Amino acid sequence: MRKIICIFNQKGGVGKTLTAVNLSAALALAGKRALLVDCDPQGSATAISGASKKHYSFTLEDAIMGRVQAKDIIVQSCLYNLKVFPAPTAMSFSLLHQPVATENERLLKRMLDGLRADFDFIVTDMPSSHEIFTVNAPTAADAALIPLQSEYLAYRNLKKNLEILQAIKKAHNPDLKIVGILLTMYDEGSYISRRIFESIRKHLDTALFDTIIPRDIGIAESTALEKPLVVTDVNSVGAKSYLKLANEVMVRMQNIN
Amino acid sequence: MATITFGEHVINDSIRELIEKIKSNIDLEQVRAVCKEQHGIATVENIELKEGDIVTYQDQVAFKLDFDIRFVLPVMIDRRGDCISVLPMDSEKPSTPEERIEEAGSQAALTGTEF
Repeated sequence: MRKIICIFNQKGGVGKTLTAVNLSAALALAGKRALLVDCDPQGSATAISGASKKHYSFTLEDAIMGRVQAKDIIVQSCLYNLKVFPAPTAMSFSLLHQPVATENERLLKRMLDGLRADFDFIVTDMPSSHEIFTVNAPTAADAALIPLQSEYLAYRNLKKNLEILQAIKKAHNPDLKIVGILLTMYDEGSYISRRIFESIRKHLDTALFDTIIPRDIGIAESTALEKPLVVTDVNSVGAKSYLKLANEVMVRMQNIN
Repeated sequence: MATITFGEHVINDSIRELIEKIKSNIDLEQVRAVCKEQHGIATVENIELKEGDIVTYQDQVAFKLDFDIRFVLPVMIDRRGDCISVLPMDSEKPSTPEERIEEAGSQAALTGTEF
């Protein structure tokens, strides 16, 4: 079964980290063994997963560089079923100095393939900037999920994101699928939000998840609490959306070839 | 019936002179505006006034001016060769938020990504 999902979008601020964290947490709440892999050196996903800094001293970089066994780096989040692969700070810099002969784009894939048996779902959060994990995360994934902020510039950038995924699929991961496009930060009162929703329905209907993540003040509050929204306020509109998304993702992942 | 005769060239030369005067006073920017507003053609590359004539139109005398207009018409064809869309002729330079959003959507769809 396909289980590694890359949250992909090269643009910053579209909701990648919130989607990665809350989707993996919602999957955990649904009884699935979930692993959140934080590929972003900023470490935001790690921070808001509820994984305490004092509980880990090694990071994703250590596992990829072979300094530590991958399983020894995984830490507990605030949910029993959700484990976390913490991101380091300077990961990209040292990895970029690896010789090309090591097939840099497959570093993450080799590591995650060894963890498939231990988890029902593995969700990777990637950095926005062009770093080594922009290629590594989709190369390691069975499917990409594209969070799309309900704003014009994000929508304008969708074409580029699809082209990048096509290029990665062709060069490194021919089995890569796109599980769907997720509209985030949707504001029903915004004319632009509504027009983008209508446009994407028109042009890419089957790709769009039924679930839409609305703007929700609870999301900002949950990040300040350094926990997923589905934990801090499970009854909020945003949390309910992420729980619905998790169900939709499970169905879609079963149905894609 | 009395007949007044004069050289045929007098009428023809006068008509030509009138038409030339009209042609020289045509504001091509207004023609561009007509192309855009009435025909949706915003990507006009060149306008040339070819010829003019005096005609009757809807029971009145009118000056007919023939313009040679060059513009780009984007036609979208899918991988099977079927025409899937003829984009609005001003699609290369969408001017409203709605048009820009629509353009972003059609551009994403044209990547042919499988979902």
